[in-house]
Amino acid sequence: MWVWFHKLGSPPYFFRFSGIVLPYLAVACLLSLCIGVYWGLFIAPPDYQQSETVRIMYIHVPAAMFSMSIYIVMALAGAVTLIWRIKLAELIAAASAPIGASYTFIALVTGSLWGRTAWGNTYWEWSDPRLMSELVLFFLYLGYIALYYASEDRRGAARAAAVLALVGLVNIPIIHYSVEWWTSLHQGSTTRGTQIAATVHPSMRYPLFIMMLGFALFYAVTLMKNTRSMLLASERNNAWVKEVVSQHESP
Amino acid sequence: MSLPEWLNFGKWTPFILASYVITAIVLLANIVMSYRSEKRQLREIALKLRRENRGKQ
Amino acid sequence: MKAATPLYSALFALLKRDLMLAFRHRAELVNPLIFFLIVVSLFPMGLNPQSQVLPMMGAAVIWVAALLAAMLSLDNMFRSDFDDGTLEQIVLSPWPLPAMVLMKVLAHWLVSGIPLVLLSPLLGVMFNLPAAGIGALVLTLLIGTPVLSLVGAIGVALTVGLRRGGVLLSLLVLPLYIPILIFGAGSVWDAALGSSIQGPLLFLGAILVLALTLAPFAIASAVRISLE
Repeated sequence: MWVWFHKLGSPPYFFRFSGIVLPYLAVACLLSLCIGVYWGLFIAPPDYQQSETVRIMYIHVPAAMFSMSIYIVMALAGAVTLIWRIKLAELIAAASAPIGASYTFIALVTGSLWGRTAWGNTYWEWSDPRLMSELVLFFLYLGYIALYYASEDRRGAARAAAVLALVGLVNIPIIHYSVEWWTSLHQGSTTRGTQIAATVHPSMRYPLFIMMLGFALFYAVTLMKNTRSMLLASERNNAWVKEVVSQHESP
Repeated sequence: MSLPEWLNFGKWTPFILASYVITAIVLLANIVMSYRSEKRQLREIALKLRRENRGKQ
Repeated sequence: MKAATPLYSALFALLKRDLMLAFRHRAELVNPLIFFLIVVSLFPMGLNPQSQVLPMMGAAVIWVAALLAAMLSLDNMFRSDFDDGTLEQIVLSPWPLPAMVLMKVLAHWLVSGIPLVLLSPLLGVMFNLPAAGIGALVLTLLIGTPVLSLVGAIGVALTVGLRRGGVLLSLLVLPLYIPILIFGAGSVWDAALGSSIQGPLLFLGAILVLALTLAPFAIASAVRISLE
C-alpha cells in the first residue's frame, strides 16, 4: 500500500493513474450530484420544523464539511512539501485551494440564505463564532492563493504558502468546536458521521450522504484535473510529458 | 417570471432555488476551468513540439 | 557547532542592536502612531460628540486602528535587514533562528506596540469611554499587541522577498488578526457595560501563549524560505 502511495508521488505515474481513473470518477460524481439534488429537492420530505428550507442543508452541510477537510488536505500536503519537498505535494496543495475556496464560498452563501429563512431578518450575524471562523477560512484560502501566485519561483512559493496553510490550521478546530465552546446560532453539531446517523431522519439521511459523496468526488475530479495541468506546465521539458502529448495527438 | 408548479417550495422558494443555482454556477465554473486548463496545456505543448520537430528537419 | 558566545548574550546583542537602530530612525517609528491618532480622531469628528453611539464605536474603532497601525509598522521588522544582507547573516549564525527572530519581534513590540498601549487611554477618553472600558482597552491591547507583532512577523517573513509584498501582507495577516480583534474590542464594550471580562482576557492570554510558543518556528521557517 505504501509502495503504491510512493509510486503515486512520481509525476508520470500520477498522470497515467489519474488519466485512467478520471472518467469513472467523473461519471460517478455527475451521477451522485444529480441523484442527490433530485432526491433532496423533490423526493425528501419537508422538515416538520423548517418545512422546505431544510433542502438547503443538502448543499450547505457537505460544502461546509469539505471546506474544512480540503484545508486540512492542503495543510498536510504543505507539511509534506516542507519536510520532503515532494513536487506533487506542492501541486496538490495549490490545486486544492481554489476548490476549497469555492466550497467555503458556497457554505457561506447557502448558510446565509438558510439563516435568513430560519433566524429572521438577518442574512448575517457578526457575533456568531462559526460564521466568523468560516469567513476567516475563506480569507485564508484567498490569502493562500495570492501568496502562491505572488512570486515567479514556483517551488519557493509553494513552501511559503505551505507555512501559511499550517499557521491557519488553528482555525479549523475553532470552526468545528465553536458550537460547543460558545453559544451560537448553530445548534449542536451535525458534522460528525455518527451524529448525523443519530439525529437526522433516515429519509433525509440518504440524500445528504449522496450529496456528500458527490461533493467529495467533485473535489477528487477537479483536483486531479488541476494537478494534471499544473504538472504539464511545470514539467513541459521532460521526456514523459512529450510522450504523453504525442500520444494524445495521435491516439 | 412565474415558476412552474413543480418548482414551488412555499414561502422561501427564492432562497432555496438561489442556493442550488449559485452552487451549480460555482461548481460548473470550477470544473469547466480545470478541464479547459488541461486541454490548453496539452495544446500548447503539442504546438511547441511540432515547432521543435520542424526546426530539427 | 557550539558558539563561543553564549545564547543569551547573542540574543541580547540582537535586541540591543534592533532597539538602537529603531531609536536612530525614531522619526519613522512615529508615523504609524500619528496614523493611529489621526484615524481614531476622525470618527468622533464625523459624529456628533454628544452622541450615544460614540462609546459603542470607541472599542471597535480604537482596536481596528491599532491593527492597522501595527500592520503599517510590520515592514520595519525584516525589510532593511533583508535588503542589506544582515538577515542572511542571522540565519547563518550558529544560534537557533526561532530565538533570534523572537528577539526581533520583541524589539518591534517594544518600539511599535507599547506606544499604542500607552496612547490608548487618551483615545478612550476621546470616545467618552467609561473608566472600566478604558481599563479593559489598555489591558486587552497590552496582551493583544504582542500577538499582533508575533503573527504579523509570520506574514512579513513570508512576503519580505516579494516585490509588491505590501498589500499581500495585509491579505495574509488580517484574517489571522480577526479573532484578536473580536475578543479585544468585545471585552472593551463588555467592560464598559459593567460585566466581567475574565473569560475573554483569559482567552486572549491563551492566544498570546500559543503565539509565543509556535510563531517563532513559523517565522524562522518563513525567513528561510524567503531567503532562497
